[in-house]
Amino acid sequence: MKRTSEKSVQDLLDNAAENQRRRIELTEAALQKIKSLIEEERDKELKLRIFITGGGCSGYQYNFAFDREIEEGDILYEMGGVSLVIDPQSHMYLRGAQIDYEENLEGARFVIHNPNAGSTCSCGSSFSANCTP
Amino acid sequence: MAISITQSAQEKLAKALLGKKDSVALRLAVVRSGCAGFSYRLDYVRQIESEDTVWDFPGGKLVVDKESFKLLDGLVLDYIKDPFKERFVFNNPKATGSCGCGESFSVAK
Repeated sequence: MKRTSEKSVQDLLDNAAENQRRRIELTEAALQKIKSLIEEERDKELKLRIFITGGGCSGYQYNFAFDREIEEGDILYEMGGVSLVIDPQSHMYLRGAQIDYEENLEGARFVIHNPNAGSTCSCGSSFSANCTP
Repeated sequence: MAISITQSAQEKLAKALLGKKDSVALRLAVVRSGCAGFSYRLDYVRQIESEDTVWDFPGGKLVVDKESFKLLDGLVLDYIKDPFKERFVFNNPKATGSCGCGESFSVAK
């Protein structure tokens, strides 16, 4: 019984260290877009929440939402005046990822360059996972 | 025989042409690709060809070649803005099926 709890404490510490080592980055374009969206909403408390759900043609899907709350276990990033929150499960699939915002002739969207993704659907909103996190 | 372009799509197309001095229009074409067989492609146009069909809108022109037009007749071209994603939406009566992300489509044989 004791051994199990020691192991889980070690797991938690390892996990936290890994989160620290492979942080998520925002590009300048992504940062500016998030800032302008938050300004439009006129609510400085808003945080960008990124979460992963099952779905899309490649198995997993990226989702974006604004949230005022931080839930227990969430990983919080504060970068250049914006806050990014990610739940721990989603964070495991996003470690080391770079979040960009791209505008072109076809449209504009957040793009996630994710080292954990195996393949990505052509529209970029769905991906398959390379590894078990 | 026509294509309609919604207000928001017109605005996006006009914005895309703004400052592009070499481009006289935007071309919408159908190309063979994607998981459903065909997909839409937008490109800048330097010169309008004689067989192109041309639609004028404030701030620009949209052209479609003869072959693509066969698969685009009746199309309503829209541009949808969500906070986290903006994109063209092709409401195409000729399309019988489409890919999950809406990027490609199939047609009746």
